[in-house]
Amino acid sequence: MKKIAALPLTKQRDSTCPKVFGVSLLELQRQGLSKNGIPIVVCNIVEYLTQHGMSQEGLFRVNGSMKMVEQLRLQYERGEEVELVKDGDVYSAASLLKLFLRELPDGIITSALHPRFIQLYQDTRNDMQKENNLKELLKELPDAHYCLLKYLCRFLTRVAEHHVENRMNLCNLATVFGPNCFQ
Amino acid sequence: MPEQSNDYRVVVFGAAGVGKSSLVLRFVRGTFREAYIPTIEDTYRQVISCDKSICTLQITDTTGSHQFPAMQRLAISKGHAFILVYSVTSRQSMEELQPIYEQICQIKGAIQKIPIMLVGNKSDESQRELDAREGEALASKWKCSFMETSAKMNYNVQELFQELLNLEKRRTVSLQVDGKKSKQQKKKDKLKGKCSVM
Repeated sequence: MKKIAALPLTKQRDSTCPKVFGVSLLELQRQGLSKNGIPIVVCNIVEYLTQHGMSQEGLFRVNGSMKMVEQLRLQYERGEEVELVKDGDVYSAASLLKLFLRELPDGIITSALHPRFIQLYQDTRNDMQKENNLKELLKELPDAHYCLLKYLCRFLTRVAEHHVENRMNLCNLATVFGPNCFQ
Repeated sequence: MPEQSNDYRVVVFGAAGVGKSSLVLRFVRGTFREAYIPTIEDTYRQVISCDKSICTLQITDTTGSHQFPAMQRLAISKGHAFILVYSVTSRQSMEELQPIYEQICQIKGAIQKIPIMLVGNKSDESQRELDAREGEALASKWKCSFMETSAKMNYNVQELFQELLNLEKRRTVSLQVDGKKSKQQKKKDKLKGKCSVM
């Protein structure tokens, strides 16, 4: 009975406010759309790419088909069960992950910290010092953002380990992800 | 900010990995690299002649990796001429040009007056998905010019930029700069500048 009564409301919410993309990480957690602090959509994509995408040339550089990316986005928005193996392909899944980051309110690296990151790179000469300062600065990110960034960096390190096949070394991945992380 | 009328701005668009940077670097520096390096956005400058005086050809090499609609719109509204690049080895890279072309039409309006070159790059590759006729057909549909190029083999690269400038009918732009004349012109401009300051 409760379920039936709640149905129209959820439907209404579907059409008025986005549920997965363009929603803050805290809101995703509140809605139960995160697993161990990581948005489920991100986990899905990372798991799928880990299995099927690591050796694909230009992973995260080459775009997926716009149509497929939009379709996948809508499926997630509607709360449908998405099977990337069946419904997507490697490049579209990769584009979807970047889209998620771009749509994240205030970005994965929150805008208030941008000047501090820039200053850190301008002021610090010594590499060791830079690394330490960077680690300290990253700790100032909100927990959910820090957690997701860590998860992504670990994954991208594994992508870069396959750079002989996928041609995406750390520098290339940084070029492609940078503008999606700093908005 | 006032428009810098002395600049002639060309913008290069296309999907990731079709060879936009390779074409630009071949044209500007005469070099080719096998390396696989994505672009965020780079601008190159070269002196050319425009209406019998010298001006700066400004070439903006855009990213193919992510769509930032605002950046794309800005590049289009600032650009005077456009190069739309696909790779003859990828049908999808040609399809990805459609929304960019539509955006240019939308922002620029009278498209017939805008120099646009559709370019099929990597013409040296044997594993083609597209032959030249398909490029020609799309170009005639879009009412723009078409050329196949190879940045790697230096085939049609100089010609591409020359042809693009030839399409500009609102002013006379040319890659040829008469060295002597331009120096004189420079002096003149310098003097003029001084006069106005005084």
